[in-house]
Amino acid sequence: MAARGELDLSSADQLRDLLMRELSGGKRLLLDLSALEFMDSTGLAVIVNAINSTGRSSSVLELYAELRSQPQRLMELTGVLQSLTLVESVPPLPAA
Amino acid sequence: MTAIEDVTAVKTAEIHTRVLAESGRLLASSLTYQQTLLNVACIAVPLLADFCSVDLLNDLGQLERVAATHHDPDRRALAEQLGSLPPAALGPDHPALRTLHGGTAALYETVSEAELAAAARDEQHLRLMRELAPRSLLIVPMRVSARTIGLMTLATDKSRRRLRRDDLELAEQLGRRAAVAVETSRLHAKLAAVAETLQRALLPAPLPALPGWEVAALYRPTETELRIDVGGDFYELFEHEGTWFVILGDVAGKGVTAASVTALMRHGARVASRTEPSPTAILARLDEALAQQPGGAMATAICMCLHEDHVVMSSAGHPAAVIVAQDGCLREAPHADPLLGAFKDSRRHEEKVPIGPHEMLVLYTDGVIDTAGPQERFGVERLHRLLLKMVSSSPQAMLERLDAELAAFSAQPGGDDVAVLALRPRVS
Repeated sequence: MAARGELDLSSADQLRDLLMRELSGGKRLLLDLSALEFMDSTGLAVIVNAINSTGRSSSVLELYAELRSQPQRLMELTGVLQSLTLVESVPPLPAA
Repeated sequence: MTAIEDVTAVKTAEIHTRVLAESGRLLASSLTYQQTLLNVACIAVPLLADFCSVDLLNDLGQLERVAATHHDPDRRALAEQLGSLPPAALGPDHPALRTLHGGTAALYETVSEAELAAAARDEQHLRLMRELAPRSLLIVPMRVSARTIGLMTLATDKSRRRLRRDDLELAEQLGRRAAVAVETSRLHAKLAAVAETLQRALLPAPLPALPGWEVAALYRPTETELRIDVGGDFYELFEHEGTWFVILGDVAGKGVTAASVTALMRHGARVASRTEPSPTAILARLDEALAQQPGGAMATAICMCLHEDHVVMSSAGHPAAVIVAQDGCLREAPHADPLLGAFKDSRRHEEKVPIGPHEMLVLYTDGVIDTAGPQERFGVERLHRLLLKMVSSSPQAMLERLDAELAAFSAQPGGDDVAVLALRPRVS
Protein backbone atom coordinates (compact mmCIF):
# COMPACT_ATOMS: atom_id res chain seq x y z
CA MET A 1 0.00 0.00 0.00
CA ALA A 2 1.38 3.38 -0.93
CA ALA A 3 0.45 6.85 0.29
CA ARG A 4 1.58 10.10 -1.23
CA GLY A 5 0.97 13.81 -0.77
CA GLU A 6 -0.01 14.94 2.73
CA LEU A 7 -1.21 12.77 5.58
CA ASP A 8 -3.02 15.01 8.01
CA LEU A 9 -6.36 15.47 9.71
CA SER A 10 -8.22 15.57 6.41
CA SER A 11 -6.77 12.36 4.94
CA ALA A 12 -6.01 10.34 8.09
CA ASP A 13 -9.50 8.82 8.31
CA GLN A 14 -9.19 7.47 4.79
CA LEU A 15 -5.87 5.79 5.52
CA ARG A 16 -7.15 4.34 8.81
CA ASP A 17 -10.16 2.75 7.09
CA LEU A 18 -7.95 1.28 4.37
CA LEU A 19 -5.36 -0.06 6.80
CA MET A 20 -7.97 -1.57 9.10
CA ARG A 21 -9.74 -3.26 6.22
CA GLU A 22 -6.55 -4.77 4.79
CA LEU A 23 -5.11 -5.81 8.14
CA SER A 24 -8.36 -7.37 9.40
CA GLY A 25 -8.37 -9.43 6.21
CA GLY A 26 -5.26 -11.11 7.60
CA LYS A 27 -3.02 -9.79 4.86
CA ARG A 28 0.61 -8.84 5.23
CA LEU A 29 1.13 -5.20 4.33
CA LEU A 30 4.12 -3.25 3.13
CA LEU A 31 3.50 0.44 3.62
CA ASP A 32 5.25 2.65 1.10
CA LEU A 33 5.41 6.27 2.29
CA SER A 34 8.31 7.27 0.02
CA ALA A 35 6.12 9.74 -1.85
CA LEU A 36 4.53 11.16 1.30
CA GLU A 37 5.59 14.78 1.73
CA PHE A 38 3.99 15.63 5.04
CA MET A 39 2.59 13.80 8.05
CA ASP A 40 1.07 15.39 11.16
CA SER A 41 0.38 13.90 14.60
CA THR A 42 -3.07 12.69 13.54
CA GLY A 43 -1.59 10.82 10.58
CA LEU A 44 1.11 9.40 12.82
CA ALA A 45 -1.53 8.16 15.27
CA VAL A 46 -3.22 6.21 12.45
CA ILE A 47 0.02 4.37 11.70
CA VAL A 48 0.70 3.65 15.39
CA ASN A 49 -2.82 2.28 15.84
CA ALA A 50 -2.29 0.05 12.81
CA ILE A 51 0.98 -1.25 14.29
CA ASN A 52 -0.73 -1.95 17.63
CA SER A 53 -3.69 -3.66 15.98
CA THR A 54 -1.33 -6.27 14.51
CA GLY A 55 -0.36 -7.27 18.05
CA ARG A 56 3.11 -5.91 17.22
CA SER A 57 3.84 -8.97 15.19
CA SER A 58 6.64 -7.57 13.09
CA SER A 59 5.94 -9.46 9.90
CA VAL A 60 2.36 -8.20 9.43
CA LEU A 61 2.98 -4.51 8.83
CA GLU A 62 6.26 -3.45 7.33
CA LEU A 63 7.51 -0.10 6.16
CA TYR A 64 9.55 0.68 3.07
CA ALA A 65 12.66 2.39 4.43
CA GLU A 66 12.73 5.25 1.94
CA LEU A 67 11.05 8.33 3.46
CA ARG A 68 10.93 12.04 2.77
CA SER A 69 12.55 14.23 5.42
CA GLN A 70 9.52 15.49 7.36
CA PRO A 71 7.77 12.11 7.84
CA GLN A 72 11.16 10.54 8.60
CA ARG A 73 11.92 13.16 11.27
CA LEU A 74 8.46 12.88 12.86
CA MET A 75 8.53 9.07 12.95
CA GLU A 76 12.04 9.05 14.38
CA LEU A 77 11.30 11.70 16.99
CA THR A 78 8.24 9.89 18.27
CA GLY A 79 9.85 6.45 18.34
CA VAL A 80 7.45 5.05 15.76
CA LEU A 81 10.11 4.34 13.14
CA GLN A 82 12.06 2.24 15.64
CA SER A 83 9.03 0.05 16.25
CA LEU A 84 8.49 -0.89 12.60
CA THR A 85 10.24 -3.48 10.51
CA LEU A 86 11.94 -1.57 7.73
CA VAL A 87 12.22 -3.08 4.28
CA GLU A 88 15.08 -1.81 2.13
CA SER A 89 13.55 -2.53 -1.25
CA VAL A 90 10.04 -2.78 -2.57
CA PRO A 91 9.34 -5.91 -4.61
CA PRO A 92 7.84 -5.04 -7.99
CA LEU A 93 4.05 -5.33 -8.07
CA PRO A 94 2.90 -8.43 -9.90
CA ALA A 95 1.72 -7.58 -13.40
CA ALA A 96 -2.04 -7.32 -13.64
CA MET B 1 -58.66 51.97 14.96
CA THR B 2 -60.12 48.74 13.63
CA ALA B 3 -63.65 48.12 14.81
CA ILE B 4 -63.41 44.40 15.17
CA GLU B 5 -67.10 43.96 16.16
CA ASP B 6 -68.24 44.84 12.66
CA VAL B 7 -66.02 42.65 10.59
CA THR B 8 -67.54 39.93 8.51
CA ALA B 9 -66.45 36.34 8.56
CA VAL B 10 -64.31 37.04 5.48
CA LYS B 11 -62.61 39.89 7.23
CA THR B 12 -61.97 37.71 10.28
CA ALA B 13 -60.37 35.05 8.11
CA GLU B 14 -58.19 37.75 6.55
CA ILE B 15 -57.06 38.95 9.97
CA HIS B 16 -56.32 35.41 11.03
CA THR B 17 -54.16 34.86 7.96
CA ARG B 18 -52.30 38.08 8.69
CA VAL B 19 -51.67 37.09 12.31
CA LEU B 20 -50.20 33.76 11.25
CA ALA B 21 -48.10 35.24 8.47
CA GLU B 22 -46.67 37.97 10.69
CA SER B 23 -46.05 35.62 13.58
CA GLY B 24 -44.20 33.24 11.25
CA ARG B 25 -41.91 36.04 10.16
CA LEU B 26 -41.28 37.26 13.71
CA LEU B 27 -40.76 33.85 15.23
CA ALA B 28 -38.15 32.98 12.63
CA SER B 29 -36.03 36.00 13.57
CA SER B 30 -33.00 35.36 15.75
CA LEU B 31 -33.89 37.52 18.70
CA THR B 32 -33.92 36.52 22.34
CA TYR B 33 -37.11 34.64 23.09
CA GLN B 34 -38.25 37.36 25.50
CA GLN B 35 -38.19 39.85 22.63
CA THR B 36 -39.74 37.33 20.24
CA LEU B 37 -42.63 36.72 22.62
CA LEU B 38 -43.22 40.41 23.08
CA ASN B 39 -43.36 40.73 19.30
CA VAL B 40 -45.89 37.90 19.13
CA ALA B 41 -47.97 39.63 21.77
CA CYS B 42 -47.82 42.77 19.68
CA ILE B 43 -49.28 40.94 16.67
CA ALA B 44 -52.09 39.43 18.70
CA VAL B 45 -52.88 42.93 19.98
CA PRO B 46 -54.87 44.62 18.51
CA LEU B 47 -55.64 42.27 15.61
CA LEU B 48 -57.06 39.55 17.82
CA ALA B 49 -57.51 41.00 21.29
CA ASP B 50 -56.84 44.05 23.47
CA PHE B 51 -54.54 42.41 25.95
CA CYS B 52 -52.01 39.62 25.60
CA SER B 53 -49.67 38.10 28.13
CA VAL B 54 -47.21 35.23 27.97
CA ASP B 55 -46.11 33.19 31.00
CA LEU B 56 -43.40 30.55 30.90
CA LEU B 57 -42.78 27.83 33.44
CA ASN B 58 -39.47 28.41 35.19
CA ASP B 59 -37.15 25.79 36.70
CA LEU B 60 -39.09 25.90 39.96
CA GLY B 61 -42.37 25.10 38.21
CA GLN B 62 -43.64 28.65 38.70
CA LEU B 63 -45.25 30.72 36.00
CA GLU B 64 -43.07 33.64 35.08
CA ARG B 65 -44.51 36.49 33.06
CA VAL B 66 -42.20 37.26 30.15
CA ALA B 67 -44.36 39.51 27.97
CA ALA B 68 -47.55 41.53 28.29
CA THR B 69 -49.06 44.26 26.17
CA HIS B 70 -52.27 46.28 25.87
CA HIS B 71 -53.50 48.02 22.75
CA ASP B 72 -54.77 51.09 24.64
CA PRO B 73 -51.78 53.37 25.36
CA ASP B 74 -53.46 54.56 28.57
CA ARG B 75 -53.62 51.01 29.87
CA ARG B 76 -50.15 49.93 28.77
CA ALA B 77 -48.90 50.75 32.26
CA LEU B 78 -51.44 48.26 33.55
CA ALA B 79 -50.11 45.64 31.14
CA GLU B 80 -46.59 46.42 32.32
CA GLN B 81 -47.67 45.99 35.94
CA LEU B 82 -49.27 42.71 35.01
CA GLY B 83 -46.10 41.91 33.11
CA SER B 84 -43.84 42.47 36.09
CA LEU B 85 -45.68 40.17 38.47
CA PRO B 86 -43.29 37.97 40.41
CA PRO B 87 -43.18 34.29 39.44
CA ALA B 88 -46.01 32.40 41.08
CA ALA B 89 -47.17 28.84 41.54
CA LEU B 90 -50.81 28.35 40.66
CA GLY B 91 -53.19 27.33 43.43
CA PRO B 92 -54.86 23.92 43.10
CA ASP B 93 -58.16 25.48 41.92
CA HIS B 94 -56.68 27.81 39.37
CA PRO B 95 -58.48 27.55 36.01
CA ALA B 96 -55.22 27.82 34.08
CA LEU B 97 -53.96 24.68 35.76
CA ARG B 98 -56.02 22.53 33.41
CA THR B 99 -54.41 24.28 30.46
CA LEU B 100 -51.01 23.90 31.98
CA HIS B 101 -51.25 20.21 32.88
CA GLY B 102 -53.85 18.95 30.43
CA GLY B 103 -52.56 21.05 27.58
CA THR B 104 -56.12 22.07 26.69
CA ALA B 105 -57.13 25.62 25.88
CA ALA B 106 -59.80 27.45 27.87
CA LEU B 107 -62.26 30.00 26.51
CA TYR B 108 -64.37 32.33 28.68
CA GLU B 109 -66.68 34.15 26.24
CA THR B 110 -67.86 36.30 29.10
CA VAL B 111 -65.80 36.62 32.24
CA SER B 112 -67.69 36.77 35.52
CA GLU B 113 -66.37 38.36 38.70
CA ALA B 114 -66.22 34.88 40.27
CA GLU B 115 -64.10 33.56 37.41
CA LEU B 116 -61.82 36.57 37.70
CA ALA B 117 -61.35 35.92 41.39
CA ALA B 118 -60.61 32.25 40.72
CA ALA B 119 -58.04 33.13 38.07
CA ALA B 120 -56.16 35.65 40.22
CA ARG B 121 -52.94 34.40 41.74
CA ASP B 122 -53.06 36.80 44.67
CA GLU B 123 -54.60 40.06 45.84
CA GLN B 124 -52.39 42.24 43.70
CA HIS B 125 -53.12 40.16 40.65
CA LEU B 126 -56.88 40.31 41.32
CA ARG B 127 -56.75 44.11 41.67
CA LEU B 128 -54.96 44.45 38.35
CA MET B 129 -57.29 41.97 36.65
CA ARG B 130 -60.31 43.92 37.89
CA GLU B 131 -58.78 47.06 36.46
CA LEU B 132 -58.16 45.24 33.19
CA ALA B 133 -61.83 44.24 33.27
CA PRO B 134 -61.82 41.70 30.45
CA ARG B 135 -65.03 40.95 28.62
CA SER B 136 -63.75 37.74 27.02
CA LEU B 137 -60.64 35.80 27.87
CA LEU B 138 -58.86 32.79 26.52
CA ILE B 139 -55.86 30.81 27.76
CA VAL B 140 -53.90 28.58 25.38
CA PRO B 141 -51.04 26.23 26.19
CA MET B 142 -47.60 26.72 24.69
CA ARG B 143 -46.69 23.17 23.87
CA VAL B 144 -43.56 21.52 22.49
CA SER B 145 -44.23 17.88 21.65
CA ALA B 146 -46.06 16.64 24.78
CA ARG B 147 -44.77 19.28 27.19
CA THR B 148 -46.49 22.53 28.11
CA ILE B 149 -43.81 25.16 28.64
CA GLY B 150 -46.12 28.10 29.29
CA LEU B 151 -49.42 29.85 28.74
CA MET B 152 -50.59 32.60 26.46
CA THR B 153 -53.55 34.68 27.63
CA LEU B 154 -55.63 36.91 25.36
CA ALA B 155 -58.43 39.19 26.51
CA THR B 156 -60.78 41.79 25.02
CA ASP B 157 -62.08 44.93 26.71
CA LYS B 158 -65.65 45.41 27.90
CA SER B 159 -66.30 47.72 24.97
CA ARG B 160 -65.29 45.21 22.38
CA ARG B 161 -66.31 41.92 20.84
CA ARG B 162 -66.34 38.53 22.42
CA LEU B 163 -63.62 36.03 21.73
CA ARG B 164 -65.00 32.98 19.95
CA ARG B 165 -64.08 29.40 19.15
CA ASP B 166 -62.22 30.32 15.92
CA ASP B 167 -60.17 32.90 17.86
CA LEU B 168 -59.26 30.13 20.25
CA GLU B 169 -58.09 27.92 17.40
CA LEU B 170 -55.93 30.71 16.01
CA ALA B 171 -54.51 31.47 19.45
CA GLU B 172 -53.66 27.79 19.87
CA GLN B 173 -51.68 27.88 16.65
CA LEU B 174 -49.93 31.03 17.77
CA GLY B 175 -49.14 29.38 21.11
CA ARG B 176 -47.66 26.32 19.41
CA ARG B 177 -45.47 28.40 17.14
CA ALA B 178 -44.29 30.62 19.97
CA ALA B 179 -43.50 27.53 22.07
CA VAL B 180 -41.27 26.10 19.33
CA ALA B 181 -39.49 29.44 18.98
CA VAL B 182 -38.92 29.61 22.75
CA GLU B 183 -37.64 26.04 22.89
CA THR B 184 -35.25 26.57 19.97
CA SER B 185 -33.95 29.75 21.48
CA ARG B 186 -33.48 28.08 24.87
CA LEU B 187 -31.62 25.17 23.30
CA HIS B 188 -29.33 27.59 21.49
CA ALA B 189 -28.66 29.45 24.72
CA LYS B 190 -27.92 26.18 26.52
CA LEU B 191 -25.56 25.02 23.77
CA ALA B 192 -23.74 28.34 23.82
CA ALA B 193 -23.38 28.11 27.61
CA VAL B 194 -22.03 24.54 27.35
CA ALA B 195 -19.58 25.66 24.67
CA GLU B 196 -18.38 28.54 26.82
CA THR B 197 -17.98 26.39 29.92
CA LEU B 198 -16.07 23.74 27.97
CA GLN B 199 -13.85 26.30 26.35
CA ARG B 200 -13.01 27.87 29.70
CA ALA B 201 -12.23 24.43 31.19
CA LEU B 202 -10.16 23.30 28.22
CA LEU B 203 -8.07 26.38 27.53
CA PRO B 204 -4.86 27.00 29.48
CA ALA B 205 -5.24 28.98 32.69
CA PRO B 206 -3.56 32.40 32.92
CA LEU B 207 0.17 32.08 33.49
CA PRO B 208 1.24 32.04 37.14
CA ALA B 209 4.11 34.17 38.39
CA LEU B 210 7.23 31.99 38.44
CA PRO B 211 9.87 32.83 41.04
CA GLY B 212 13.17 33.47 39.28
CA TRP B 213 11.80 33.15 35.75
CA GLU B 214 10.15 35.42 33.22
CA VAL B 215 7.59 33.53 31.18
CA ALA B 216 5.27 34.20 28.24
CA ALA B 217 2.86 32.00 26.31
CA LEU B 218 1.41 31.93 22.84
CA TYR B 219 -1.69 29.80 22.42
CA ARG B 220 -3.81 29.72 19.30
CA PRO B 221 -6.49 27.03 19.08
CA THR B 222 -8.02 26.00 15.78
CA GLU B 223 -11.36 27.57 15.08
CA THR B 224 -13.99 24.87 15.30
CA GLU B 225 -17.71 24.49 14.94
CA LEU B 226 -20.21 25.10 17.74
CA ARG B 227 -18.43 28.28 18.80
CA ILE B 228 -15.85 26.22 20.69
CA ASP B 229 -12.32 27.29 19.87
CA VAL B 230 -10.22 24.62 21.50
CA GLY B 231 -7.41 22.45 20.27
CA GLY B 232 -5.12 19.51 20.89
CA ASP B 233 -2.20 21.68 22.02
CA PHE B 234 -1.79 22.33 25.71
CA TYR B 235 0.52 23.57 28.41
CA GLU B 236 0.37 23.75 32.16
CA LEU B 237 2.64 25.30 34.78
CA PHE B 238 2.30 23.99 38.30
CA GLU B 239 4.16 23.84 41.58
CA HIS B 240 4.92 20.94 43.89
CA GLU B 241 6.60 21.66 47.23
CA GLY B 242 8.40 24.73 45.94
CA THR B 243 9.49 23.23 42.61
CA TRP B 244 7.85 24.48 39.45
CA PHE B 245 6.94 22.10 36.64
CA VAL B 246 6.12 22.93 33.05
CA ILE B 247 4.46 20.63 30.55
CA LEU B 248 3.70 21.49 26.94
CA GLY B 249 2.37 19.08 24.36
CA ASP B 250 0.15 18.15 21.48
CA VAL B 251 -2.67 15.60 21.49
CA ALA B 252 -3.21 13.93 18.10
CA GLY B 253 -6.42 15.00 16.41
CA LYS B 254 -8.23 18.28 16.67
CA GLY B 255 -11.24 20.04 18.05
CA VAL B 256 -13.34 19.01 21.02
CA THR B 257 -12.21 15.36 21.05
CA ALA B 258 -8.53 16.25 21.25
CA ALA B 259 -9.23 19.09 23.67
CA SER B 260 -10.92 16.75 26.14
CA VAL B 261 -7.72 14.68 26.23
CA THR B 262 -5.66 17.84 26.88
CA ALA B 263 -7.65 18.22 30.11
CA LEU B 264 -6.51 14.75 31.13
CA MET B 265 -2.90 15.67 30.32
CA ARG B 266 -2.93 18.97 32.22
CA HIS B 267 -4.63 17.69 35.33
CA GLY B 268 -2.95 14.28 35.15
CA ALA B 269 0.47 15.95 35.16
CA ARG B 270 -0.41 17.88 38.32
CA VAL B 271 -1.65 14.76 40.09
CA ALA B 272 1.33 12.65 38.96
CA SER B 273 3.78 15.27 40.26
CA ARG B 274 2.49 14.71 43.82
CA THR B 275 3.50 11.07 44.00
CA GLU B 276 6.75 11.29 42.07
CA PRO B 277 7.89 14.79 41.22
CA SER B 278 10.14 14.07 38.23
CA PRO B 279 9.54 14.78 34.52
CA THR B 280 10.06 11.14 33.46
CA ALA B 281 7.67 9.85 36.13
CA ILE B 282 5.03 12.40 35.15
CA LEU B 283 5.32 11.42 31.47
CA ALA B 284 5.19 7.70 32.36
CA ARG B 285 1.93 8.21 34.32
CA LEU B 286 0.44 10.19 31.44
CA ASP B 287 1.52 7.43 29.05
CA GLU B 288 -0.45 4.92 31.13
CA ALA B 289 -3.44 7.24 31.41
CA LEU B 290 -3.57 7.73 27.64
CA ALA B 291 -3.28 4.00 26.98
CA GLN B 292 -6.49 3.57 28.98
CA GLN B 293 -8.35 6.12 26.84
CA PRO B 294 -10.66 4.63 24.24
CA GLY B 295 -9.89 5.17 20.57
CA GLY B 296 -6.10 5.13 20.75
CA ALA B 297 -5.44 8.64 22.07
CA MET B 298 -1.84 9.74 21.57
CA ALA B 299 0.20 12.77 22.49
CA THR B 300 3.67 14.19 22.42
CA ALA B 301 4.93 16.35 25.27
CA ILE B 302 7.93 17.92 26.96
CA CYS B 303 7.89 17.99 30.73
CA MET B 304 10.46 19.82 32.82
CA CYS B 305 11.15 21.16 36.28
CA LEU B 306 12.77 24.53 36.79
CA HIS B 307 15.84 25.22 38.92
CA GLU B 308 17.83 28.39 39.42
CA ASP B 309 20.35 27.88 36.60
CA HIS B 310 19.12 24.78 34.85
CA VAL B 311 16.07 22.74 33.95
CA VAL B 312 15.57 18.98 34.03
CA MET B 313 13.60 17.92 31.02
CA SER B 314 12.18 14.84 29.38
CA SER B 315 10.50 14.53 26.00
CA ALA B 316 7.88 12.08 24.78
CA GLY B 317 8.26 12.27 21.01
CA HIS B 318 8.03 16.04 21.09
CA PRO B 319 10.02 18.55 18.99
CA ALA B 320 13.09 19.59 20.98
CA ALA B 321 13.04 22.77 23.04
CA VAL B 322 15.32 25.53 21.78
CA ILE B 323 17.81 27.40 23.97
CA VAL B 324 19.04 30.62 22.38
CA ALA B 325 21.93 32.66 23.74
CA GLN B 326 22.66 36.32 23.04
CA ASP B 327 25.97 35.44 21.37
CA GLY B 328 24.00 33.71 18.61
CA CYS B 329 24.47 30.18 19.91
CA LEU B 330 21.50 27.89 19.66
CA ARG B 331 21.00 24.48 21.27
CA GLU B 332 18.23 21.91 21.18
CA ALA B 333 17.22 19.55 23.99
CA PRO B 334 16.26 16.98 25.07
CA HIS B 335 16.61 13.88 22.98
CA ALA B 336 13.10 12.43 22.56
CA ASP B 337 11.73 9.17 23.94
CA PRO B 338 8.63 7.53 22.39
CA LEU B 339 5.38 9.43 22.28
CA LEU B 340 2.61 8.91 24.86
CA GLY B 341 -0.25 6.44 24.48
CA ALA B 342 1.44 4.47 21.71
CA PHE B 343 3.68 1.80 23.18
CA LYS B 344 3.83 -0.16 26.41
CA ASP B 345 6.50 0.56 29.02
CA SER B 346 8.58 2.96 26.98
CA ARG B 347 12.01 3.67 28.41
CA ARG B 348 12.27 7.33 29.43
CA HIS B 349 15.25 9.47 30.39
CA GLU B 350 15.69 13.03 31.58
CA GLU B 351 18.40 15.58 30.81
CA LYS B 352 19.83 18.36 32.91
CA VAL B 353 20.04 21.41 30.67
CA PRO B 354 21.90 24.50 31.96
CA ILE B 355 20.23 27.81 31.14
CA GLY B 356 22.43 30.93 31.34
CA PRO B 357 21.17 34.23 32.76
CA HIS B 358 20.63 35.81 29.34
CA GLU B 359 19.43 32.74 27.53
CA MET B 360 15.89 32.08 26.38
CA LEU B 361 14.25 28.65 26.55
CA VAL B 362 11.48 28.08 24.01
CA LEU B 363 9.07 25.11 23.96
CA TYR B 364 6.73 24.78 21.00
CA THR B 365 4.32 22.41 19.30
CA ASP B 366 4.73 21.31 15.71
CA GLY B 367 1.86 23.59 14.70
CA VAL B 368 4.56 26.30 14.57
CA ILE B 369 6.93 24.58 12.14
CA ASP B 370 4.09 22.90 10.21
CA THR B 371 2.29 26.21 9.52
CA ALA B 372 1.72 26.06 5.78
CA GLY B 373 2.72 29.02 3.64
CA PRO B 374 1.98 29.47 -0.03
CA GLN B 375 4.99 27.36 -1.12
CA GLU B 376 6.43 25.65 1.92
CA ARG B 377 5.97 25.15 5.64
CA PHE B 378 7.34 27.54 8.28
CA GLY B 379 10.00 25.03 9.28
CA VAL B 380 12.59 24.75 12.04
CA GLU B 381 15.20 26.96 10.32
CA ARG B 382 12.84 29.91 9.99
CA LEU B 383 11.86 29.50 13.65
CA HIS B 384 15.49 29.39 14.76
CA ARG B 385 16.36 32.54 12.79
CA LEU B 386 13.46 34.40 14.37
CA LEU B 387 14.36 33.29 17.90
CA LEU B 388 17.97 34.39 17.42
CA LYS B 389 16.83 37.76 16.12
CA MET B 390 14.57 38.29 19.15
CA VAL B 391 16.85 36.83 21.86
CA SER B 392 17.47 40.20 23.55
CA SER B 393 13.81 41.10 23.85
CA SER B 394 11.44 39.95 26.58
CA PRO B 395 9.71 36.53 26.31
CA GLN B 396 6.44 38.38 25.72
CA ALA B 397 7.83 40.50 22.88
CA MET B 398 9.47 37.43 21.30
CA LEU B 399 6.21 35.51 21.20
CA GLU B 400 4.22 38.48 19.92
CA ARG B 401 6.69 38.72 17.07
CA LEU B 402 6.43 34.97 16.39
CA ASP B 403 2.63 35.19 16.38
CA ALA B 404 2.74 38.05 13.88
CA GLU B 405 5.21 36.23 11.62
CA LEU B 406 3.15 33.02 11.67
CA ALA B 407 0.01 34.97 10.80
CA ALA B 408 1.83 36.73 7.95
CA PHE B 409 3.33 33.46 6.70
CA SER B 410 0.20 31.34 6.90
CA ALA B 411 -1.62 30.75 3.63
CA GLN B 412 -4.81 29.80 5.44
CA PRO B 413 -5.65 31.49 8.72
CA GLY B 414 -6.84 29.17 11.50
CA GLY B 415 -4.88 26.14 10.27
CA ASP B 416 -3.08 24.11 12.91
CA ASP B 417 -3.10 24.62 16.68
CA VAL B 418 -0.10 26.45 18.08
CA ALA B 419 1.28 26.52 21.62
CA VAL B 420 4.60 28.13 22.58
CA LEU B 421 6.19 28.95 25.92
CA ALA B 422 9.23 31.22 26.28
CA LEU B 423 11.12 31.28 29.57
CA ARG B 424 14.15 33.25 30.73
CA PRO B 425 15.89 33.29 34.11
CA ARG B 426 15.11 36.58 35.83
CA VAL B 427 18.33 38.56 36.32
CA SER B 428 18.32 40.21 39.75
